[in-house]
Amino acid sequence: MRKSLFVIALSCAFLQAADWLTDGGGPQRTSWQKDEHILNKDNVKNLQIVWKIQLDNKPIEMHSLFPPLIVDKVNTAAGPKQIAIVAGVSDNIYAIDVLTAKIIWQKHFEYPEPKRRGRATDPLCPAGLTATPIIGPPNAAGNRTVYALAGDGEIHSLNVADGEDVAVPFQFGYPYGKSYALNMWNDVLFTTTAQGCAGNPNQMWSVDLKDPKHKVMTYSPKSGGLWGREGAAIDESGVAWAPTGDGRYDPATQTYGNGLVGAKVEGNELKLQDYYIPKNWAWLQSRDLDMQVTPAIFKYKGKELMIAASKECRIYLLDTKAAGGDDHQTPLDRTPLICNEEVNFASAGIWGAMASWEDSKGTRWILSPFWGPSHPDFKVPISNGPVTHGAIVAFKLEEKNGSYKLIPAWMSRDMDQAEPPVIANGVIYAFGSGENTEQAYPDRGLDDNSPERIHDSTHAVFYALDAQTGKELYSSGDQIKSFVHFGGLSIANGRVYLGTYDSILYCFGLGPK
Amino acid sequence: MSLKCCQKGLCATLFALNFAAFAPAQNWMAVGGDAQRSASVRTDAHISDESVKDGVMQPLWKLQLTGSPTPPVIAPRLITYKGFKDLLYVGTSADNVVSIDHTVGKVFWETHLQYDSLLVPVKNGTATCPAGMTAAVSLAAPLAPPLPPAPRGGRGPGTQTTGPGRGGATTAPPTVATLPRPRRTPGAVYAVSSDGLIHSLNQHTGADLVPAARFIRGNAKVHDLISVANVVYAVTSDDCGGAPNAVWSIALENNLVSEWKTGEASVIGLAFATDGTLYATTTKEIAALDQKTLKVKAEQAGPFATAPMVFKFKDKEYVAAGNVSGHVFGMDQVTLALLVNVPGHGVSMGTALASWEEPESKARWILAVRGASVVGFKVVEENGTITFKEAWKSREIASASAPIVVNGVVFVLASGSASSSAVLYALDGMTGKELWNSGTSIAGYSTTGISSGGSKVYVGTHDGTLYAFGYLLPRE
Repeated sequence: MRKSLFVIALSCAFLQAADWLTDGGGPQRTSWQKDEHILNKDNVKNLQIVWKIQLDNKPIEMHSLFPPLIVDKVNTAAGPKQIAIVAGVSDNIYAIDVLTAKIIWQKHFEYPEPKRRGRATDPLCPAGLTATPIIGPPNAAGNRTVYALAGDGEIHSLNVADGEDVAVPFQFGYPYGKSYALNMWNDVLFTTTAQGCAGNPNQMWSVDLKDPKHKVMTYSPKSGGLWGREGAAIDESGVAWAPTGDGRYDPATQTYGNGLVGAKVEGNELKLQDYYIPKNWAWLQSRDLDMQVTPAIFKYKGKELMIAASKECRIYLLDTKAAGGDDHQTPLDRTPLICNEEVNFASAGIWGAMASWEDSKGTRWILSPFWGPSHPDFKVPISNGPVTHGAIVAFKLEEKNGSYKLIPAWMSRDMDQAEPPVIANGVIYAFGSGENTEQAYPDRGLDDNSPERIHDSTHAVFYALDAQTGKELYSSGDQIKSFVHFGGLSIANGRVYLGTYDSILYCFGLGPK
Repeated sequence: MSLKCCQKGLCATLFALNFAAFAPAQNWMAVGGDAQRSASVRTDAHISDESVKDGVMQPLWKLQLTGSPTPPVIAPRLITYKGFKDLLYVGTSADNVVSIDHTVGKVFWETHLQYDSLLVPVKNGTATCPAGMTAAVSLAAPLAPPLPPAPRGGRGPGTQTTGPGRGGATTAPPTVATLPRPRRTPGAVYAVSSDGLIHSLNQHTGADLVPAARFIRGNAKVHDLISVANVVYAVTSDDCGGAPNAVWSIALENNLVSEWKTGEASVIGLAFATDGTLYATTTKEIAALDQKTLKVKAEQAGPFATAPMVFKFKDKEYVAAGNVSGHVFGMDQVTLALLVNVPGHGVSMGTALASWEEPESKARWILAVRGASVVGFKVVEENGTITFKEAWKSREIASASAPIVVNGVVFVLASGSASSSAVLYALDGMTGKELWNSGTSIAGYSTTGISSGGSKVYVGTHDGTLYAFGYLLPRE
């Protein structure tokens, strides 16, 4: 025990001021931690579970803990601390001292039971808090606020240091409306909704925190739902981009299903700015292969670009200033099918969110998780073994004479339902969720139900990969005991965090060696 | 397998037809398409006289099956354990039932129905009594056809709308119909194997939903299989395998078998009125049968050559059938009294009729193969009764199959022979003018009819090949 504490304290001594303030690491959702200086590809083989903590959050349907937010140098009553803010689906927020693994404070949002809720056993529409919170910038006094959207649709503004309300809660979304991860741009909060849970419309939502009336501004693409796991990604001009899920494309009626929409706050309205619809949207709709992945936005050679994907299992490269070109349907580049030869809507294809980073040589990398076997026609220069359950695939972005190309680089080892990766200091951190993702069965057809999926789920496995080759550098093996649904990785200051269905938060870091 | 789509000027027409791809689906549930045996798909998002002229009918795929295929039946969009699928089901003479995703032209599942009878299976059949499974499979067919959607879907030019953002103009479809809701739970595919058992197969897997039940004597020549209101009907003819010529039914809830034996007369086919009355034509007569007991309610002397067909004209149903001398009859639905008798002049008659209603004028058309041509009759009212007016006669089509109609386009197969291959023709339903033919795309001849669904027409040939022609939703 003393030795462990010594190691933890030693690790602490070298910690740099890196934060992870929002799902996907930033408004652009690249999932790239640029300020990591402790973990590297030489030492991650020594990763171990530094601590794990059982939280009293009660899972609802398949949901439990959302990706932790990490903020360093928080001035608490007990002095400056690095804190992990973790949200749980049963309307819980936990602030955990990452050095001691002790809960500093916790908050449970109470409210009258909403009149409407999703169908019992439906994994798509859990009651409770479903949006990963977000931590705002420090105020003049250096204090930070975490914004959390409770299951009743109210935004709570809590002091990160002590959990106290710093503002009166206000209504933002529908009760039990299944909001996705919060994002923020110039004091405007964004979220998206999907699946029409509890009668909630599928749309993009925003509210200006500076507006004393907190007018809720919405934009609806009239589609099946904006269900990118990390909500919307925001570009440099403040346009929030979100995939639109299943639906039709009919510009005559402003219907933008099976695509990607960008909306921006103008005055006190949230207005559509641009959109991209794949040319084969009708095929995507007919097979439920919708665009449903949070894009990642990044700068490349002076241009702001964006990557998006679909369950069809291909990646689109788009210009945020002209997504899809003049006809809104021509991307800068589009990969071949990476997976999902079977054309499955449930357990194959690209799910979750994209990721991107740039190495020291200036090479821009594109990362995508996918589920199911890799497509037999898709070839990568570096393969790390046969892929049957999912993997991370990496592309390099190249530009020649204004023409952009996504060049396949490597594919990781097999992962049981690979989830969105995060990148830090030349290492990719990824995990197979171990979640059973079946929604239909041979004898019954469609019967998506939580009890059966929970029963048939296994456990997550956390990996560290060489970012240049995808080679496995570390695997958690069977140390994680439960699966992950709608959870995700966070990384800062030599620690990688992952919450599981059984409401255990794991913290991986370097071991005694 | 070959896949082709969107060639030459077709893209423009498809754009006009729009990406709207999704008019409410009408399924081809049994031989003749529906319980009335209209052989008609009333609307189709991509097949119309205009689009066929512009080249929509492309050879899409062909699959080599084991055994000669019977005309496929087509299910609605399904959510299966392997994803959303557009499935057709085809039975073959090898006692196989094959499920094919017709949008991609791939086999989804294949089930062999093991022979289970004390009778020795017939290995080598004859033209009159072929070996193996003879009846096309069936899906559950409603007694009344679903209400027709918008007229002749897919017509009309695109419109100009302005997209947001860069202000660029985008040519867009005028309307985009809603994709039909997919079916979530697996229904049944009904098949009578050569041993005479009725199989209820899971549409998603091909597995027996319930144990197969004894229905008809093995090695019979079974055809006109159809499932209506949880009862499966079929007929037997030509005394094949020692089975009596008869109309048969089996109630699926208790496997109770009923029959109406027709003696020496072979049964030609079945059709239902929307009140459940069942009509059977034989080489001797036509009879109206009780849906449950198969007891005769009315009769009319024959002999007949075609299966019966029930059609609606001005809110009243009638029965039509043709005889061996080329006559086409229209009969009262209740009494089977002759109302129309179009002289045949001794020409030969095809095996089934077809009927469709022109949605704008509500004109009712009856189609028959007479001699070497398809003839289009318009149903008109004269002196308080109906009559059939010959409106057009097609070009000569050798050994023409029973015609079918898709959104006002008539399709008929020149069946070919041992020395000539089959050719599929598309005719304008209003004029009979040839719009398209499949040329040399089909190798081999066909002994069964054609069917349609999902903007495609399917042709099976004697050598076990199933061809699909029509429109393929672009995947890329």
